Amino acid sequence: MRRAFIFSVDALIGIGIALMAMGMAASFLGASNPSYQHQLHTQRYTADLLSVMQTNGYVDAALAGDPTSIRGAFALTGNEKCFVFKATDASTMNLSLSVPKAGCGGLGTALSSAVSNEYYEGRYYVLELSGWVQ
Amino acid sequence: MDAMLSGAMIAMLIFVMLGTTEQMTQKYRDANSEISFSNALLAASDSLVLTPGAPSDWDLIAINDANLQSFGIASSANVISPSKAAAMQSLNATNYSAIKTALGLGAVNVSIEIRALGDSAAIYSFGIAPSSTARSAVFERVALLNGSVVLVRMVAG
Repeated sequence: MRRAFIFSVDALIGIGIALMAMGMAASFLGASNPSYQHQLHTQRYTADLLSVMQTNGYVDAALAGDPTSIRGAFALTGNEKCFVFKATDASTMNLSLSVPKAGCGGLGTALSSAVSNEYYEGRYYVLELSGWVQ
Repeated sequence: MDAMLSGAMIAMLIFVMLGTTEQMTQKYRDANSEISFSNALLAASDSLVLTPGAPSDWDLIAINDANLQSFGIASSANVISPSKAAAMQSLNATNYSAIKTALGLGAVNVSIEIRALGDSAAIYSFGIAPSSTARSAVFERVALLNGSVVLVRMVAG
C-alpha cells in the first residue's frame, strides 16, 4: 500500500513538472500572431499585384518581350517584398517567361502565390506570381 | 509526517497544474482573438477594393446605417472608381460611423489612405487612425486608379 502510494506521488510529481514546463513554454508565446497577419497580407498583396499587372497590360507587354513594366511595378513595392512572375505556355507546360524582382535573394517568410491565366496571341498562358517577405 | 509532506506536495502540484492550465487557456484565447481581428480586417479590405459596395450607387444617395449594407470603392476588382474614392473622402465628417460599420469594423477606429505605389503622399484619405495604445493592424492592397498603380492602406484598431 505504501509503495503504491509513493508511486502515485512520483507520478503526480512527474505530471506537475511536465505541466510546469509546458506553462513556461506557453508563456513565451506572444499573444499576437504576427506571422498569420503577414501571411494574409502577403497573400492578398500578391494576388492584387497580379490582377493589376494583367488589367494594366503589363503581362501582355512582357509576353511580347518587354518586361519593363513588370520590373517597374516590382521596384515600387518596397525593399522588404520580393516577387517572381512566371508565365507558362498552357499547351506545352513549358516556362515561357520568368521575371524576378531585382535585389531579392533566397526565399524569406510568408511565402504565397497567386495564379491566373492569360490569352495572348492565340495561346493560353498560366500565370504565377510568387511573393514573400525577406 | 510523511503523509503530511505528501499531502502538501500533492496540494502544491494541483495548484501548479491549475495555474498552468489557466495560463495556456488564456494564451489560446488571446491568439484566437488576434486571428479573428486579422480576418475581420482582411474581409474589410476585400470589400473595399474588390466590390462597389451595396447599394452600388451609394456615392449618389444619402447614406446612413440603414441603407448602406456593405462598403466598396471599386468599379471592378482591384480597379478603384475615382468618384467613389472622392465620395468616401467627402463623407469623412458625416458618415464615418456608417461606413466603418458597413466594413464590419464598427467597434474600432479605421483609417484608409490611397497613395501612388512607392509614394507617401495621400491621394485620398478617410477615417480616424487608431490611438498609439490600441491594438491595431495594417492591411495594404494594390489597385489601379486612373490607370496608375496605387496602394490602398487600411489601419484599424
